[in-house]
Amino acid sequence: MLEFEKDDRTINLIYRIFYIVVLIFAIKVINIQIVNHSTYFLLSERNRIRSIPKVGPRGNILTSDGICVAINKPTYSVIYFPRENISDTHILNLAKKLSKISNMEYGYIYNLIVKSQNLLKPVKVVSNISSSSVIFFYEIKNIFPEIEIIEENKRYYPYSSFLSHIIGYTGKMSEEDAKIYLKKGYSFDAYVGKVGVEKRYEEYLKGKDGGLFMEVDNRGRILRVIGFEDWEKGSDVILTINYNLQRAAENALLKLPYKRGACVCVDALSGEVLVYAVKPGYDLNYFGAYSDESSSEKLSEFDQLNIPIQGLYPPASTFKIITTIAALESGKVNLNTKYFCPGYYEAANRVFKCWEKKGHGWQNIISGVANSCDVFFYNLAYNIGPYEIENMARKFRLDQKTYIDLPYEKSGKIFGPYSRIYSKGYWFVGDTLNMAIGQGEMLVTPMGMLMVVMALANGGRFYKPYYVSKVISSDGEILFENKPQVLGTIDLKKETYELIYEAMRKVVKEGTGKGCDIKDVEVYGKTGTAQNPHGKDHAWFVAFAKKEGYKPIAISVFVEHGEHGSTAAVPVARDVIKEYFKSEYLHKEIEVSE
Amino acid sequence: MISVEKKVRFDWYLFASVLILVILGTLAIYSSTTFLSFKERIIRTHFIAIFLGILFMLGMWIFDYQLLEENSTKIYLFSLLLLVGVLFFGVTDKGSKSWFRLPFFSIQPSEISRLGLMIFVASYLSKNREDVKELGGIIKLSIYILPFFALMIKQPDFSGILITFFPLLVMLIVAGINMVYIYVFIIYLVVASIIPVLNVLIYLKPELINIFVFDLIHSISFWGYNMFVAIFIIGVIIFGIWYLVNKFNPLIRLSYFIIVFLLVVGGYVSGVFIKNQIKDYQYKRIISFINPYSDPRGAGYNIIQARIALGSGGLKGKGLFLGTQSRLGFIPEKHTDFIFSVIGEELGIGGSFIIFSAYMILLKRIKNIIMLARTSFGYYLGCGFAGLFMGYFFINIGMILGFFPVAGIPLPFVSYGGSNLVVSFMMIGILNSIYARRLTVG
Repeated sequence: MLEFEKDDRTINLIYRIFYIVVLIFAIKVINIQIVNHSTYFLLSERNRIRSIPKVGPRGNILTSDGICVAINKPTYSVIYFPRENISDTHILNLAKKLSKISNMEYGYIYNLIVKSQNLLKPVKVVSNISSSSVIFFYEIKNIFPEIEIIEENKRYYPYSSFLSHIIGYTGKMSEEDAKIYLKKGYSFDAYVGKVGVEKRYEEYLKGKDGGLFMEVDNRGRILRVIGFEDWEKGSDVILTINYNLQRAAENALLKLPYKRGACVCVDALSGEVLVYAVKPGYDLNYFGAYSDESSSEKLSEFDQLNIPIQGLYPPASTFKIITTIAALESGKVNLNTKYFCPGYYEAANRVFKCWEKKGHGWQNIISGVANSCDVFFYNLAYNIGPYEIENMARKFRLDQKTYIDLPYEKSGKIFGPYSRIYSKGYWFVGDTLNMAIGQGEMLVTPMGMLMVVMALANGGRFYKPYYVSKVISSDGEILFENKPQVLGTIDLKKETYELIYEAMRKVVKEGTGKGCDIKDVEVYGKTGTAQNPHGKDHAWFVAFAKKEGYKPIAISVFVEHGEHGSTAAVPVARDVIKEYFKSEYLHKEIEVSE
Repeated sequence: MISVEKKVRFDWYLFASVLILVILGTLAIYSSTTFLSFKERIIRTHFIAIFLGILFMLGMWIFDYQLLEENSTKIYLFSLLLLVGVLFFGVTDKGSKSWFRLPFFSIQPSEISRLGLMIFVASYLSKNREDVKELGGIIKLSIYILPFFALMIKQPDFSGILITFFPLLVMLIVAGINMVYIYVFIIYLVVASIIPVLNVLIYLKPELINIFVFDLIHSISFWGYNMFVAIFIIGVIIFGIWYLVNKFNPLIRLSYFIIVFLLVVGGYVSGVFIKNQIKDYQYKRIISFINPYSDPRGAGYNIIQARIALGSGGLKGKGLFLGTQSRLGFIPEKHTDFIFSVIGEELGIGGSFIIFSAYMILLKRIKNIIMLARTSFGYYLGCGFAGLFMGYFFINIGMILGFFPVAGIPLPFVSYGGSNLVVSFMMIGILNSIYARRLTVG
């Protein structure tokens, strides 16, 4: 019934070959399982390789002038090795002793040890022991040999609250963190960056953990250390922030009797952030100690508002820069334009006062800006109309973010006829007047105002502010480098630049910005005092400074409830600008980068 | 037991051997995954796979296996489609894009495609038996099966390719292929492996590149200008030799030299292509084969631990669910590739013996079915299945015993692996279908 010719021989041959192979295998199995059984059995009983990860050092964070603001401190941890036939009393005693020296809750330690016993896996029971206390733990180890002490690295911020809003801090992983990081091979109790540079550059900063491999017998005793893998240091992050300047700014802010304020300063030719000072800062080391989910409660104790990018306030008189430029660009106004200020201004059946009740008399553009005469600007605004002003504000990007690499940045809100008509459908003369002097519903961030003076300083370019200069690996390779990036430009007439420069120079030489007049430096600025119906007025000062042989800088200072720009904000800028133009910062070649 | 007995339609011995393997496998999987976090998912998937497998097995048994021959081309094209699909829509695991991830489980199309390939080849052989004895037929068949291997290399799934050689070889040899072609193929493989192996050695010991020969071969291991030059020189050498030889003995034919040239160049080019596909972890596998203790924490770890587990089982074994090596996390792939060591550890040599015996019975029953097959298609397909199961046993057990480098090949019916299990059951079903129709056609 077979319909074709089968080749029995071949398939039989193949099978025979296979059977021979199986026989060889069977012999080998007997060899392994019977003949050498005792050897393997011993190995399986003895050979339990345990590995303890040792946290490698994180890369440092440094300022541009080489000061380390985030470093590693050696620290010690206690590992518990489980073993059989351990009584509960024994564990209790150990837990008590450990808890006493470490100040950790004894029940917590006890639970960890119990868990370790159940899983038969070593567990870290105490961490962050300082080098001064570690000797006590060695004494415990004499009585309880089942613990082992290893050296690790802990993050330390030598200047505690310095530059806190940029640096950030590290802590234990939250649930969301765990989802991402465990996949990448982090161990369960690893510390990761939670905010700031620590978080943003986590992948660069994280060093490679080392490991201790130990052979443990079936009773849990460590037989020997098989080997250890060296840890590797993470890469360093170099900031654009300058230590001395930042110090000057933070000290200046601290000296003020006001609770909140900020000072930001950039290199006007690149967007590099030289100063990012926020008051109040917070001690970054604090979070290292309390790093678990409960730190979110601790967080709420701290004022975390990132004022330069999240604080929205009326620009007040600093906005007069915009109004002035709008007027000059419109062609309707020039150096010869004069207006008289009697201390008030009448429009639409209302009287608008100038801050100088006595009046300023005749003003031109220069004196109007220098004195910050409100009436002068009312006249200007009436002359050129609100659309021009609103347009100019948009050209200066006051309604856009700066895209500095920080989360939750807010953009300013320009308040002008276009936007008002959109939402409410009407526009009064009074609105025009308020807009001209930077009051009303308009809001800006200190960063937003900084962009304005930055563009004025460099002739019309808005650079994206950045605070990380580069990332360098532990063996010196540059892994990442930030370059200046132009977000946009503005085209102004040459005369406009000349006049606004002259006006802002006068502010500093003779006007409200006098406190910032520094010898041999050309400082151009504008103060502002923002009316605040809920409390004291806010203080503003924006400026840029030039000197032959130096790259120009732009600076923006804001002090909440500082009452007067000239008294609260100007001194902060002064300290920073003065520090900058000391000879260390001489830059021989000034490249005007495109 | 080659006898036509009472008209039993289902080979119970075959099924029994499979059942024994599945039961032991399930116990071992259950035991070895106790401390894993995803243990429940594994157990659940495993039972679903068993259920599906048995379902497919029954399905394949009920339907006439000749249907497979009639649709063999379609089946093969579908298999290729699956392999193409996984390259686009698949996910990567351990460096290979070999899996489709579906809501509740993952499928490895290589397993299914391999079955499709075997069906196609068996069908081809049964229709074109005589072709295989000539070069033309061989080349034609090679061209047909080339897409399968090319797609597998693209993933890359080297262990999948390796295991496919077994059924193919058996089918071809049984069909009567001239052994010369097999030897030629082996030579081709050797030539093709020169470049990848060399690069592995250089990876191991970078100093070797200072030796002229190594440096020379290394420099032509890349696509590009060097390769043209190399091929040109090879051609000059080979045809130069022919020219000289021809002077002395004009009878020696040019065609042989052309074949040699194509072989060398083909091997060379394939070698470069393969070398480019080798991933880091595969280098490490080869290293740890040569010396497991050179990397005791890494690739060699599995081998050492598996052997310790096996050996420590001894006569009686440590007892079910009491295997300390396996359960305490020492063998990472214990529920897949190294399942045999789990059984050896927990059930001792008795357990090992049962696995061996079950496989022998399985293969013996397959041989019986092969002999009783009515059609040549059934015959060849059965031979293919026999070769495949032999291959799996050979490589998987061989790896644990230390005869081969770790190869990522499971032990069918015992290892955890849904795709492999279901496809293996399908094969059993097809075998039963052949068995059931041994007396009548259709």
